Amino acid sequence: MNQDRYTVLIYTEDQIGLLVQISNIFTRRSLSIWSMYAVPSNIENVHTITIIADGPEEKMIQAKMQLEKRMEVIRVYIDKGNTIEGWPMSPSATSQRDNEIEQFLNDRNKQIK
Amino acid sequence: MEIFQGSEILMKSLLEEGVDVMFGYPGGQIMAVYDTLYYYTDKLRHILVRHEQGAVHAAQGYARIRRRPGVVIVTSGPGATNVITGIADAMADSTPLVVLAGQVGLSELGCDAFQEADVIGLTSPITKWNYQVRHASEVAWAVSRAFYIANSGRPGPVVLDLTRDAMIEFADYEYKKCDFIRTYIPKHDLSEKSIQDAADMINASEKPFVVFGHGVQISNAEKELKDFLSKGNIPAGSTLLGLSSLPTDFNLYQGMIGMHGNLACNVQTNECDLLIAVGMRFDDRVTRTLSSYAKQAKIIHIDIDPAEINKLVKVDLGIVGDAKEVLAALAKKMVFKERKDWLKAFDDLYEIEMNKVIKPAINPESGDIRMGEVVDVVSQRSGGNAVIVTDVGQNQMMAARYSQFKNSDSFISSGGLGTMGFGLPAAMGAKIAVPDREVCLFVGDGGLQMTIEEFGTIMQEKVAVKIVLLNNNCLGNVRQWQQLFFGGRLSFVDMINPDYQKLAEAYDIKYAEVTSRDQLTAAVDKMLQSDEPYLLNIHVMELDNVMPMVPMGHGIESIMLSEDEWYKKEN
Repeated sequence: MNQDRYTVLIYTEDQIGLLVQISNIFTRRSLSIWSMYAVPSNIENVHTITIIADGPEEKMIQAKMQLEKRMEVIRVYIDKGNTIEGWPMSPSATSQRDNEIEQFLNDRNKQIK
Repeated sequence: MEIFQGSEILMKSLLEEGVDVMFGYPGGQIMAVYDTLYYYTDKLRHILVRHEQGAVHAAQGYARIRRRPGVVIVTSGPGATNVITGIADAMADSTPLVVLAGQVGLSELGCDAFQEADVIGLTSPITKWNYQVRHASEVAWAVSRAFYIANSGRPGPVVLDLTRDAMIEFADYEYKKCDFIRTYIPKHDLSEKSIQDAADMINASEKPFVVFGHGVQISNAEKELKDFLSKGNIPAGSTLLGLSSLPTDFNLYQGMIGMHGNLACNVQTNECDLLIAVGMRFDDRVTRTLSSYAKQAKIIHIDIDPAEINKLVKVDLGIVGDAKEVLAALAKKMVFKERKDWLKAFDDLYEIEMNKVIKPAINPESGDIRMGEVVDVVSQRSGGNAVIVTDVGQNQMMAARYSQFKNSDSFISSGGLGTMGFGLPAAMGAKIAVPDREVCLFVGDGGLQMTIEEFGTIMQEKVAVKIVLLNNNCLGNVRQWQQLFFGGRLSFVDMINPDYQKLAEAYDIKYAEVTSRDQLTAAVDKMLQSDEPYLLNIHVMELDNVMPMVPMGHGIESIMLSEDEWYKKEN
């Protein structure tokens, strides 16, 4: 299977131990992690974890689906290639996705009885 | 708001969730909980197992038949690590469990304290959710969330790692049942377009075939499946865990799919023009070699878990949804088709299997007792009404192939993980869950000895489970593979058995032994008439093999009918 480089952007709740759970999902599928970066996002109580990893597309999609099953994971985005310019990630690079997540959480929060 | 100790909040929270039975074993760091439990035994029945693995498998048996989380309570360290196998098993088979594990105090965490193990780290990959409860104020919240997560969407095991501080501190208590987590969508809304597209594909199909799995029972969709099949006149086959979702005498039911499945189901998977998969995950025991699996067919996959769609088998249409809702919506749009030739092809293949495999397996005219005939006799004499529990191996495949089912929730087995030793405690848990139903366990001499310590629990709790020991003095399934695929080199499969009669007597379990065919029916009848725990030790043929068989590395259409005959497609 072809190995390609991917940037995986994961929005999560603030939860102890989540990094290990996430890295396990990559390891189990033999996806090689080049770098991993966790930081609070611009959204209150939401963190982002950015992973640069190598692997076949099929396995990367499987990992995305499994990541999204973790309770504290809000959403996962995968982009082919190393999409990060500059390190740490500039706020503008993720602003559109931040907006999507904020909208999603606002909608979900309205459903809390 | 009242203030209680964490351990008491735990008890109150469990009661709020309707827990009536727990399977457990006390120890150092869970002592505070057991001390509180002492005052709650009028409301919470605690089953003291003999090993924590027994607790978790028993809880699985309970959960599968009651369709609600089984509850396990163990201490820290070895208590928690002993439940790992069962948790992994429950994860593989989508079984709802809430496992409560003791943990050392906060100040000792990470200090290699006595009986400290990293339970969160150990169980993360094999749980739907796990959480370390550090303070009493979190207990009620964590319990309500645990039950919600364990039993909603695709069910699974949840572990709560209860630190000693959380159990001995005092906190305000108010119970709020969890029914929403903002990051968790257990059930997706149905897409009307997907339903219409699926209905169009089904109505256009001349040779459709449904393969269904455990998801049908989890979604309580047995009636909807039956209606859907009847409406479209579509034949269907079951995975191992889907067994008993349809009565075995239902006219469109064709049997089991997969490695030791029925001939027609496997052959027709590679002949159909449309394969409709419902609540199943295309396990490799079902598909065998993926590169030749149903390549000629369009495929629709219905599953509540989006991660299962396109995971292994690429599909033409994936529908993420609850099987009950999807099947009900589809049934409204179905068109009845005669499908005479298509259905006759299933009958013809069944005829071949009947003559070459089934008759010799269940009606042998001479020789040693065969495993298939034992299963057949138990099934006939119990009227197809018993809950059949199996261990893993030949006993499991024979029970799956030859049991008749009249009712749903009648087959419990370890499917995904294939855990030998599952059977005895799972049967015990099932009998505790439904004491009014007959529960028969099929187990081999290898698997029985893996968790035989639970004879002690059966004795203490007087659990009237009927244990049918298919005793062939060896590890039969491994022996079959060694005989067929490893040049007949039988490497470490022979077993010298203990004296089961003495064991049964020691544990106050009724015992009988069958050594010849003419004793079999009467012995089974006597066992079924008993209302006490019963061990029926049946000496079966040592070299019996489970057939048909799709060997490893072969496609689903490449089927052994016996050791020296393969199925050949008739042109």
